[in-house]
Amino acid sequence: MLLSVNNLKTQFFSEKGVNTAVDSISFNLEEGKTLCIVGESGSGKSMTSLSIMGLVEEPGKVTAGEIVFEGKDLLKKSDDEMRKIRGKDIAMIFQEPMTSLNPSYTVGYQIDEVLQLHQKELNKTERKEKVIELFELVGIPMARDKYNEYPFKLSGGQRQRVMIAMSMACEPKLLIADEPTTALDVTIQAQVLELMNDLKRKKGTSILFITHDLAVVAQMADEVIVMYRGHVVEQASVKELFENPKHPYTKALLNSIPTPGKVKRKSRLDTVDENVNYLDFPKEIR
Amino acid sequence: MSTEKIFEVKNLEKTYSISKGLFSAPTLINAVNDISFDVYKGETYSIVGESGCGKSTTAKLLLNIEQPSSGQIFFKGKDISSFNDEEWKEYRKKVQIIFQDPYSSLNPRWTVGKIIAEPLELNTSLSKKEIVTEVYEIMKRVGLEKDWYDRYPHQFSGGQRQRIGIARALVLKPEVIVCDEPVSALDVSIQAQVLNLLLDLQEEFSLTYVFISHDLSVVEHISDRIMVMYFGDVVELSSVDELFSNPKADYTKRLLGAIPTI
Repeated sequence: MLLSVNNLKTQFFSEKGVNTAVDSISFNLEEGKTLCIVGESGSGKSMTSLSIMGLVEEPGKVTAGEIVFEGKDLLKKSDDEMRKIRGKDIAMIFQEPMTSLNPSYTVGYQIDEVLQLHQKELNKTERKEKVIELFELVGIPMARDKYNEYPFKLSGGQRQRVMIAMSMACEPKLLIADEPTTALDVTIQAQVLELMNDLKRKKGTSILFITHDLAVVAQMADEVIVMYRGHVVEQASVKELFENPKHPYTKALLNSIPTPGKVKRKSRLDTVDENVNYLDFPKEIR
Repeated sequence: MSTEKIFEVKNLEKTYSISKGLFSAPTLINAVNDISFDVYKGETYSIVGESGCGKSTTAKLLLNIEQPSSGQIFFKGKDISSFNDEEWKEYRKKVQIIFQDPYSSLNPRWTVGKIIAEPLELNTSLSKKEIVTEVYEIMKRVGLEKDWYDRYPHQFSGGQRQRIGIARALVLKPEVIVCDEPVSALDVSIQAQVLNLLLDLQEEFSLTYVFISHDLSVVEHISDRIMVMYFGDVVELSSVDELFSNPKADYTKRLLGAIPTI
């Protein structure tokens, strides 16, 4: 088991009281597999990924549980030790390629920086060649010329490819992708998803994929967890989840998307009932 | 769907010139490139395509926020470029818009009541009291509670904000609403609520929707006819059944192929 999260709890402390963003969740991720976390805004899915990365900021704090990565609890590691793991063993792709690149450095330099930090054995020319290789791997056209471009010169899809190239620079064992395609057009989304699956196949990278889009889940996941108000309400293999959803929240979520063929055109869609506390139903962990 | 044409668009073009610097000639970009289409009363006419395809520019041209470089738009048989002041005033009442982002399209310093009342203040001669009554009525219709009149946008969730935007668009009793990606910023469960509301309102007020979206499953659910745009051109224009069962243009096929399905 590459990653094993046990009873993770992340809370926010304010004058108004304590807000539990992630409430005792547990899951496992095997090597070379993709686990999708699906949920709506505020369900705690992004906070789960930030907790794993050790990037939860004040006033938030991981207050309980363990995050076992390659047999060691990440929560017991010092800031220095975490810095060596982030970017090298665990990398992250964020939602907005527009804002997560530094606008004042060239894209080539920004990847070079990762290599400077984690692959000290490479010299300057070797690093440059490696960056260009990465650009080619993720399908950036004219990779050599793009090395010296600034982010604003690239399209959204290209920027997200740069982000993926950056996250793949050190061949991480775990790639965390937080809504990596939400800001992209569908044809570009299809390319980026294909690219991630390709990298998984070629390099055996495990992927923790966070999204609110159930159709993307169907395409990417081996295993799925559904989060609702900080809890995991259902966990199942992707096949089981879509063929036989068990938890009322999962069912409501699936029924609220207009699925061609399943729902009559212009019929009113089912909605997630705001007056129902779906936590009252038993959890469905398979 | 009736046979009455609300919009007749003929050879519409919009060109932007982009200056590259002081000494070089500006480049011309065809955002909308010689497109023609009709929108019938009571239908949902969807315009789909990816970023930069010209769908939002087309919407802006219909609303006269931007003026075409060439071509004509007829509203109920009359060329809108020939409108006099009176006709413009009428047009602005009849053709409304719902914006994509309910977080940035509402004035954060105005109360919900003021946001919804403004179109009435500007376009009608109703008394203050009558305006308040109208606002309450429309709030009720879109599912906003009466007590929320004095609240500010930041006190609401995304779905509720989109309801405020819908109320504001609806308050002048328009015939056409241009919906520019009205649900793409919302969670799926909220998206379903807003789509249901739009479908209900369309039936109740016989509204015509020009629906702009990149989400093809939403488009398939609510549209009657669909126009696919690519780099400023219309590549395909057909009924919803025809488009999804038998797409003709290569780009449409590519677009449909790219949608992840469950």
